[in-house]
Amino acid sequence: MVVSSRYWNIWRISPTSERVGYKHCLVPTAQEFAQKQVTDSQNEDVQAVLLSYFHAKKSDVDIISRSHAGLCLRCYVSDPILKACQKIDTLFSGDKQFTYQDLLPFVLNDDGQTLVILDSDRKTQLILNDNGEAKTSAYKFFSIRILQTFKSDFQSSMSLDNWTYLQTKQNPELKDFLSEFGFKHLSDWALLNKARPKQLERLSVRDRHFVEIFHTVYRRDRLQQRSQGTRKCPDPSSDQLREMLTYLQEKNVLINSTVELMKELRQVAILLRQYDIWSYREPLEIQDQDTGSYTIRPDLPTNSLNELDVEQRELSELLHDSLNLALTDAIKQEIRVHMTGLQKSKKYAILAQQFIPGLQLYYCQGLSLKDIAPQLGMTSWDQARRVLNPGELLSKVRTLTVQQLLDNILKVAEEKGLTKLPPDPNYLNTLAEHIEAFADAEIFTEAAEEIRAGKNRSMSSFYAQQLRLCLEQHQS
Amino acid sequence: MANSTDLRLLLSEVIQLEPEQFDQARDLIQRVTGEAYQWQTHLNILALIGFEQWLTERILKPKIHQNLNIIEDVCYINIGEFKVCLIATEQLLDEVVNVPHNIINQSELAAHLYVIIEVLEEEEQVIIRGILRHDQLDNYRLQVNLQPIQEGYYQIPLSLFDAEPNHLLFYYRFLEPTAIPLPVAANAPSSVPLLEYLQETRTKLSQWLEGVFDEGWQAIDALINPEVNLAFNTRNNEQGTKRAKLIDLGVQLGNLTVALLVNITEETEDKLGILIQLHPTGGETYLPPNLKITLLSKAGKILQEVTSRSQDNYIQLKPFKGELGKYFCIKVSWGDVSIQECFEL
Repeated sequence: MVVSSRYWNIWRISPTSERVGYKHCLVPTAQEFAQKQVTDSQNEDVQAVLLSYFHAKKSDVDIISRSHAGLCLRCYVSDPILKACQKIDTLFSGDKQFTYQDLLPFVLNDDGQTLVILDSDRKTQLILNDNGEAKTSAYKFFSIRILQTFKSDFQSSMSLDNWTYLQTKQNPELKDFLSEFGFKHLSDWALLNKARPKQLERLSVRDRHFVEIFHTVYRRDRLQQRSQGTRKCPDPSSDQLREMLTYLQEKNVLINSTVELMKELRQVAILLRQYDIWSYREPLEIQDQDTGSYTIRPDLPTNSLNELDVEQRELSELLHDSLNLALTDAIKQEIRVHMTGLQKSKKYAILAQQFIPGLQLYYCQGLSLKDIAPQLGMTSWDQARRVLNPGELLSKVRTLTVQQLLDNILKVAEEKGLTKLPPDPNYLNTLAEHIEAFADAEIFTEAAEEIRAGKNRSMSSFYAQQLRLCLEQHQS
Repeated sequence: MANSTDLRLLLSEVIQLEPEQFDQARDLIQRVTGEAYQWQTHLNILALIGFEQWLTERILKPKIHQNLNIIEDVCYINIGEFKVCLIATEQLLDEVVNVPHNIINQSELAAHLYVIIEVLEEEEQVIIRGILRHDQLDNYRLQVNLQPIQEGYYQIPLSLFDAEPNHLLFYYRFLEPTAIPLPVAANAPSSVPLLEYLQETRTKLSQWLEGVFDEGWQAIDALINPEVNLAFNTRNNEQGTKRAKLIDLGVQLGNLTVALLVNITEETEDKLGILIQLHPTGGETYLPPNLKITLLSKAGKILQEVTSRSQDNYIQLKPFKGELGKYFCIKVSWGDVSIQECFEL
């Protein structure tokens, strides 16, 4: 039986890790246990075997084996914990003031070394000391908390991956953090504007009236404000507040003055800063109507791609051979297209010649957009982002690279009789996913992490190297 | 092996909007009517402008055609022969997408591809969150027997959508639109999913006059003890064809089961009179309080609503009439639980 390496590799926080603040670590103890104990077992379901070891009675399994099985499972859940933080980060979107790295300390707090078991009622974490004795401890591993509450024996239970995802999103410290920092970049008025019926359901009837009337008046005027170039949502004007007061009266909500109304609106905005209000529904799995069981959400890790197995090796070789060429072609083309775009733009034409030097400062000197802006005579970070936009460049290069590979592979696949052209949509999709997974693992994940890394980053990815080569050619 | 959409956790597809595009949006809004939906229209148009920009930067000379004024909730864009439906929203923190059911079922509103777009109005950004082919959406709908939750909307997990927007570009580049089948108009030969859908969810009342009843609709006596519910034999429902269906309102609430009674009478050749009542079952004398029955139009608009009080033997909607071929839905709700039945006259 083959055991996934997820059971002995753990994601851990590592402040010294230069790029992203976390790293993938091999846990030899877990590896040995998984390969020896589990491989011998007759049971096909690795996870079930590990769970039964971990939760076994004192009399059935020795304390060390229990803790080692736990260690394997802790490794396993570290992956969905990391993904959950990244997912929350992308869902918040916009110019928010936190990244997923800020969330990791709350939930990715497992050292991957300490041996831990649970007491018989699964309520308490016990740490094994050097003498193999179990002691209670003040420090609680979040990964163990997940395993404590996971009920694998229920017929329609969730997968461990999804349970981990749910638990991570529900982690109290993480939720507190998001309530404090999640919406910090938004004014009260932008936040009120953003609230949709689902959020209003979570408010009292009275508060709901405030938001609805705010929407009626403020949104209407916002459409006009925009045309006067107002970007940030300003405080409601006294005219607007007076109009809202009239409407509120019609709903039998009596507020005496515009000052009082302002207070009430800000009070509702405080409620809306609670992360719970925005995230309370958790569709985690998709139920299969025939069997009644739940299937894992497609955005969570699965092992797929069986369809391409037969000819996969041949195609993989072709992918390897064409990847680098496709990448450099794509970089050259996208730089050219972006330059032309800037030159044609009324607003940014004068900054077009700064594009190459700007990218060099970003990718050779490792400067941030904020630091680059003044050096190139740009007025703000926002302007530097709009002109240089390294993230968008990376994304476009990736699109073009994958598309080029897809072109090549589809032709070969047709010659080999694997598909007709045009292909079936599902075949195309699977093939595209396969190529993306390959290209991301080889090139783009590293390049994307590098952009997200923040201060003191070094631009050392293969993408960065190739990009620098192209920039040099452009200059000479 | 890494999942191909993992990269999208690090690198969302963000499109920066320029102030000029907001001006463009304002001009477009003035061409579109509908006061109540202006904010949503505003979001739709920003989504449309951003998405169009994204396309033009990635497809060489795309043949794009905007289509703004079909429906308030969404907007459409054609890329070549592909019809793409854009669903704009301001946030997706709950990971649920509200999809009007008619944009899936109705041939004139259905699209080859659906795109979820998050619009950050203040920050002048739009983000492409996910795409889904019509056949994938339809499969999911049939697979989980998806029912509209509120006023004609399906709630669909964001995770069902493909987080890699590039796949839309690849569909356009490598596929023919016919590879993604769409529902066809009612008179033309229908594709299987549409037929199944109609049969599944809509009860044809005119057939009752010919003695044809769908499964689940039973004679009244089988469901309700007429001696207990004297009201049944009185007043306006003594003639016509009547049938009742058991409605189970959920497990958590101790299996409350009520009977939805539908009584139809032939008013004229092409018009039916309808009376809708809700009765207790299992020998109960009273309905529980706060049980609500709602009449919805085809578009999900509330036409009538009645709520039970503390000691109601039954509740009913005001009798109404309709022409043959018209649709309506009845929603029975109690607290958070609701069940919807749709009918065709």
